[in-house]
Amino acid sequence: MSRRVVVVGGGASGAAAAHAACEAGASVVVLLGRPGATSLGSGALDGPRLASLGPARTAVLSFVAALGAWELNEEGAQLGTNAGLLRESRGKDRGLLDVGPFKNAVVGVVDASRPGWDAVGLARAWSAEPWAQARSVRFEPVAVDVLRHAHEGVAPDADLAVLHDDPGRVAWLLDRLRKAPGLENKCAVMLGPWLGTRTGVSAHLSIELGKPVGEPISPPGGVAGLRFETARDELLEKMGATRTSGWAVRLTSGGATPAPVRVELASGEAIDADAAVLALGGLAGGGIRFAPHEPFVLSLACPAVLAWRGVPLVTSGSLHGSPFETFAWSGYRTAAGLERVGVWVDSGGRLRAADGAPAPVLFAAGDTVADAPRTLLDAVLSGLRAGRNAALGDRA
Amino acid sequence: MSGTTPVDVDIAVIGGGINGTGVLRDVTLRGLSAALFERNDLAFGASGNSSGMIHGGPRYLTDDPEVTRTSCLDSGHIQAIAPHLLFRVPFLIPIGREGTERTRIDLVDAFFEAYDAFQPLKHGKPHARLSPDELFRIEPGLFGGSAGGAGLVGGISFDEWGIDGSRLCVANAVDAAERGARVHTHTNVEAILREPSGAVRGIRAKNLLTGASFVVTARAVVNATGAWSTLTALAASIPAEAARVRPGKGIHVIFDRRLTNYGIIARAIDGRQIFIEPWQNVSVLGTTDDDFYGDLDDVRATSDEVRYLVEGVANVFPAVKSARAIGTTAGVRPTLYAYGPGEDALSRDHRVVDHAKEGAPGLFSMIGGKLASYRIFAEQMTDVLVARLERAASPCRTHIAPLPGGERTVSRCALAERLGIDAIAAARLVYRHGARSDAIAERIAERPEEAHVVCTCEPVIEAEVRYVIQKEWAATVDDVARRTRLGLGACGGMRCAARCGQIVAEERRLEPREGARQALRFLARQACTRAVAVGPEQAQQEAFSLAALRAELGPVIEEGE
Repeated sequence: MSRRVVVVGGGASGAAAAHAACEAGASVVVLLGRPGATSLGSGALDGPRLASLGPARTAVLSFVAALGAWELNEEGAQLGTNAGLLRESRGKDRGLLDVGPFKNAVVGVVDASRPGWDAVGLARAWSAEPWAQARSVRFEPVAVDVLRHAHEGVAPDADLAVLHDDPGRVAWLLDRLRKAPGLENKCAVMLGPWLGTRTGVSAHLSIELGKPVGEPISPPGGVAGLRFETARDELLEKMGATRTSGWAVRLTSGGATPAPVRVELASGEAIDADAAVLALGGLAGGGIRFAPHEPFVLSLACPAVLAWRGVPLVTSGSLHGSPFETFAWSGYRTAAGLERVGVWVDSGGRLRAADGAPAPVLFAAGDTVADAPRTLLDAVLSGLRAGRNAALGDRA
Repeated sequence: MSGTTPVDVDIAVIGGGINGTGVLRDVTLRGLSAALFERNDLAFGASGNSSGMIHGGPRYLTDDPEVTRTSCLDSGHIQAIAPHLLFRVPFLIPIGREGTERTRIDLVDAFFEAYDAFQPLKHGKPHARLSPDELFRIEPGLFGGSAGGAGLVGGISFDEWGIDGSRLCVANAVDAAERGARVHTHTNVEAILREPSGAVRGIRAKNLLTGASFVVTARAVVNATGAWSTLTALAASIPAEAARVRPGKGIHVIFDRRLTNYGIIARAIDGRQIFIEPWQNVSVLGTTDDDFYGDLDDVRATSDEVRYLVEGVANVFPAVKSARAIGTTAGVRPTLYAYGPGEDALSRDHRVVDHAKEGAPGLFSMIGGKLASYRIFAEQMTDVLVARLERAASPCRTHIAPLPGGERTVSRCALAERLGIDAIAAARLVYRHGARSDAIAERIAERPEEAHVVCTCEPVIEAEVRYVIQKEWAATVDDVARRTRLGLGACGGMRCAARCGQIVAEERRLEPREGARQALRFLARQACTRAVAVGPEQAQQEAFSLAALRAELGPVIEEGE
C-alpha cells in the first residue's frame, strides 16, 4: 500500500508538494482552505535563476510544464505593472504579455473605459521606463471598443474575465482587434487583466492575430490567481490526488491516534495519513495566526516551533503579546518583515521540535517556513522537496 | 544693526510648520521681504501630525482661560480667512457608570456653560445636556448599544472645528510666496551667521536634495522650529537653553472611515482625557502626551502607545477594538519649558524670545503655541520684527485677508460636472484647495487625461498631484501625500504610490527609478506606521498587501537587508 500524504494548503508550495508526492508514488489528499498568496498573486514568477537551481531545475520545470498555467525559461520575462513600471521576472502566467523580446517597436495598449485601467497613463509611464528607452520600445494607447455592454465598464476584472471564458466572446474580441485601425502597425497588444479565468485566451488571440496579445501583471486578487487555481485543480485531478475543501483545526501525530498523522477539520471530519506537509501560507497569511495572549500559535495544534531568522521565538513578556515592531518589522528598509516569522524546519522541510530535532512525519513548505526568501519559485522548490520527502518517508 | 548693509531679505524664517509659515505670511503682508527654510517638508512635525482641530481648548479653561479665549477668537478668524479648510466636529462627553457621576454631570454642564461664553467667537453652537436615550439615538455605538450602557447618567455635547493642519501650513506659505517670499523645503540651516558684534546677519543653508549650499543675508532671523528649537539655537552658537521647549510626543491612531457620528471624549486608564473623532474620511483616535528624548526627524508611534489609547476609548466605544486601523501619526509638541509638572499640566501658551540677551540681537525664537492660536502668535512675532527693523509697515491683516483658496466658495457639484470627475473627488479637491480648485480645473481643460484618479481611496486626481508639485513645493511622494492625503487611506498607498512616484519623477525630471524608490520608501514607512496598530485579523490583510507590493515591484523590496 502506498504512503498516504496529506498536504494542507493549495497554493504554489502545496500544489508542488502534491505533485512531487504523487510522482513519488504516494496517495495524496490536498486540503484547500481560503485563497492565499498564490491565488491572489500577480502572475509574475520571481525567484532564483533557473541555472542556479542545480539538480532541482528539472523537477521545477517538470512541475511548471504539468501545471500548464505558467511559463518559465532561461531568458525570463519583462512585464508591465499596474503602477506603470516595467519589471523583470523569471517567469510568468501564460496570459501575461512579455515585452522582453521587443526592440525598436510600438506596443498598442487597448484603451477601454474602465476604472483602474488608465491606458493613456500606463502607456506614458511604461514608455518612460529606462528599459523601454534603452530598447526604443514605446507604448501607445489605442482606442478599441472591447466592452460589449455598458455594465462591463464597471464590472470587476474577474467578472469581465469570466465572460472571456466563452469562445464566442473571444471570437468577437478577436474581430474587434482585427478591425481596429490603430493596432495594424503595433508589434503587440496589451489588454487589461481580464483575459479569461482559464489559461489559453491570450495564446489563442496571439496565434489568430499574428502578434503577441496579453495582460500586465494582475492586481491583488486578479485573474492570474484564478488561472492558477483552475490549472491546479486540473493537475491534481489528472494525478489522481484527492481535493478536499475545509479548514484544519488540529494536527496530531504520534500518541493515541491510529495513523502517524491525523488532520481534524472544522467540519468534524478527520484525514489520516503517514505524513503531512504544511503549506498553509505565511504568518497571518493563512495558517499561522497572531494571537495576542499567546504570542504565536498555529491555528493547527501540532508540535511546531516558530522561529525568526533561525532562532526560535520565546514567550513575550507582555500580556498583550509581542509588540509587532520589535521582531516582525525591522525598520522601513525591509517592508516584507511581517512574513518573516515562520515554522522552524530543517533543510529537508521537516518540522523541528523545541530541542531542534526534526519531526519525521511533519513537513512545511512555502511561506510557512521561516528564514527563506519568499518568492513563488522558492515556494515551488520547497514544496517539491517537502512533498518528495513526505512521500518517501524513511527511503528519502 | 545699520540699515544700510545690503541684504537679501528682511526676515529669514527657519521652520516650515504653522508658526514659521504663519509668520512668513504676516511679514510679507506687511510689506517686508522674507525667505523660509525647512529641513524636511512643510508641516512635517507637530503641525501636520496634530489632532486636526482648531479647537477652543476647553481643556485649558480652568488653568489657562486666556489660552481658551485666544484660541476661540483665532478659530473664528481662521474660519473667516479659510472657510474651505474647516469642518464642524461636534463632540459628546458621555458620563456615567461610576459611583459619583450624578454630581459630575452637573459639574461638566456648568463647565461648558462657561465655555459657551467663548463659542460665539468661533461661530460654535452652545453645549447641550443629553439624556441617555438621546445619546444612544445620535451615537448608537456608545457602550456597544443601550444594553451595554446601563448606568449611563447622560452626556454633554460641545462644538469644535476640524482642519487639515498640513493644508493650513501650505496655504500660508503659498500666500507668502505670491507676495514675493521664497520658500526652501528640504533645506537645512547649517548656521545662523553673526556679525562680529554678535548681531545676526543671515543664515547658511544646504539643500538636502541637491546638496547645494548657499548663504542668505537677513536683518532678522526667526527660529520657528518647534520641538527642534534648541537645535536651531545651537546653529546660532547660543546656548540651547535659550530656546528651550519641553518636547511632548503625541500619537494618533487612524481608522478606516468614520466610525462615529460625533467626536467622543473618553478617559484613559490614568484619567487623562482622550478622544475619537470623525475627521475627513477617517476616524482619529488620540492622543498621548509623553516627554520625548528621541530623534525628532524620525518620530514613530509604538504598539504600547496604541494599546493605551485603544483600551481607553474602548471603554465608551467598544467597536474600536474590531475596527481596522490604517495607520498612526506621531508628532512632538513644543510646549513651554517647565521642570516638574506633568505633561498635561504644561501651558499651551506661547512666547516670543528675543535672543539679544544672549548677545544675538536680531534672532528671535517662537516657543510654544498651538495650531488654533498660530495666527495671533505670528502677529505678535511680526509686531516685534517690525519694531526691530524700525520700518513703516502696514498693520496686521492676517485675520481679514483670505488665505489662498478662501477668497470665495466653489460649487463642488458644478466642478464635478465641469471636469467630468466623481462628485466625491471634486468635494475633496474643493476641501483642500477652495477657490484654487479652478487652477486645477484649468489644467484639466488643457490636458483632459489629468482628470484620471491616481489615489482611489481619498480620491486624488492626477492634476492635483502635478499641481502640488509645481505650486506647493512637493518634492517627494511623502510631500504629495502630506498635501493631498494621497496614499493615506485604507490601501496605504498600495494602489497609488508607484504611480505618484512616476509623476514626481516626471515633474522634477528625475530618473523614473528614483520615483519608484521614493514610492517604495513611502510604502515601507506607511507599513511601519500601520504595523504598530494592527490586530490579528488585520495582520493577514497586511501580509497580502505586502505580497502585492512585492509582485508590483519585484524582488527590489529586499534591498538594504
